[in-house]
Amino acid sequence: MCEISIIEDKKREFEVLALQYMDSFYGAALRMTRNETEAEDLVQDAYLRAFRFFDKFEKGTNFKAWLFKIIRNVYINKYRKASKAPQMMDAMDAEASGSLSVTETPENFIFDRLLDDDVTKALDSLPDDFRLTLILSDLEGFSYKEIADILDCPIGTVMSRLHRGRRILRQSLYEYAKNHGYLKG
Amino acid sequence: MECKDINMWVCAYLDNELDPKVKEIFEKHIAVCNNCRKEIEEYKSLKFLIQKRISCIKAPDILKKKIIVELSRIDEYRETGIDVIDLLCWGSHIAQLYEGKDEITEVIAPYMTKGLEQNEFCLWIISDISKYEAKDSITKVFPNVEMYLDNGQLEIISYEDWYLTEGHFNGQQILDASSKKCQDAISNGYSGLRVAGTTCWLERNDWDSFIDFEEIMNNAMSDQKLLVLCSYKQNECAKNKIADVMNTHKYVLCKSDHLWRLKKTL
Repeated sequence: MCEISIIEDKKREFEVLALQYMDSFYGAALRMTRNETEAEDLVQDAYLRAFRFFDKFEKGTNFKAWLFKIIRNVYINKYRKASKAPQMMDAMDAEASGSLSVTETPENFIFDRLLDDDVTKALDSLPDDFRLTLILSDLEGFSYKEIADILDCPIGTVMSRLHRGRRILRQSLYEYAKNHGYLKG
Repeated sequence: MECKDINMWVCAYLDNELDPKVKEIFEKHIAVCNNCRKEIEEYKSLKFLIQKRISCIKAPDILKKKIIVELSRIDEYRETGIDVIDLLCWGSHIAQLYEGKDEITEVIAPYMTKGLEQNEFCLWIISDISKYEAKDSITKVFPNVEMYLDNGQLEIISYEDWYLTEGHFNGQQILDASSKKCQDAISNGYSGLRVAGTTCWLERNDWDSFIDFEEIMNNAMSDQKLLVLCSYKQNECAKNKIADVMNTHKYVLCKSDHLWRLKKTL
């Protein structure tokens, strides 16, 4: 009886903490998997795994960051896409390194004229590690230190991924804007 | 500070992560450099654009409800030992499409090991590998395997001693034997029964009746503390046979680009 009530209390505590962030996790999962069903599966798997390891969560620390770390690990295990990222990253980065320089930037470069879909597509086309780092920084507002902890990498890597990721993203959006005729080629 | 240094620090500046001393130097530079200011403005718009356009995705209500339900039955979830699956409920029926012997042991050895660790009774029905090879593959990930063989928590038996005890395949008899084995396991203090079996012993004539058996098994095990992994040799399965496998297992594991992938089917 006592044991059951302890488990029930643990479930309630977990639900209160975890369910409030569901939109954030689902949004990130959707951007990572690019597929609604897979995003739902990923979030569900991560929640179940998080609950099983809830005893290991250090109270008073950042629960949202802890759960993001679990989602990222489940994603890597399940999809293993991360293992392909380095090659893709290098290729895309090389492409982007020849991107528009400051002096080439047209005066009327107006991101606002782009469609939501263009922005989503550009973000989705980033390599996994860059995309997740950008999501954690720009959408979730985590500090570099928190991101480094979630992604299990040095802060320097976070900075470099953000810098390179944004550069690639800017180049992609520039291409979209050009294709839509918002910019002169 | 030169323009190329500025370029390196733009993101950290926008994210308010610059060391105060660097920030001071940074701001002194951008106060006098139009190009760098322009660069910063662009990255600022980019950040704003992402925040404005992408942040408002709502999780489906049904997902929240589903997670609450699954959390309430968390005790029924087992760690599979297979990386791409992680957790599965009792009653799950998984198929593996494999090509060589190595692919069988690569999946089944950690699957069995995880079962032993979780106090499950584990049964491995072998056909195209020897008992020694099966035992050896588990030993590589779990050196204590001998102890589990001795105390009876792990059984490695030949397909003839499981599927063909009557000299031919009889699906009903296997269903009964599985249920009994599962009940015995629980009576003996184990959490449930975990089974792995390969199918390369199947004669061409037995295929249809075996698939019928798989379908019945799929339903019969849904309320039992039973987890079953069936390995099918991929190059011996014609396309229609693969469709049969997909139709009778909720989860199908197959290798692509040297990595195991999971497909949810039912």
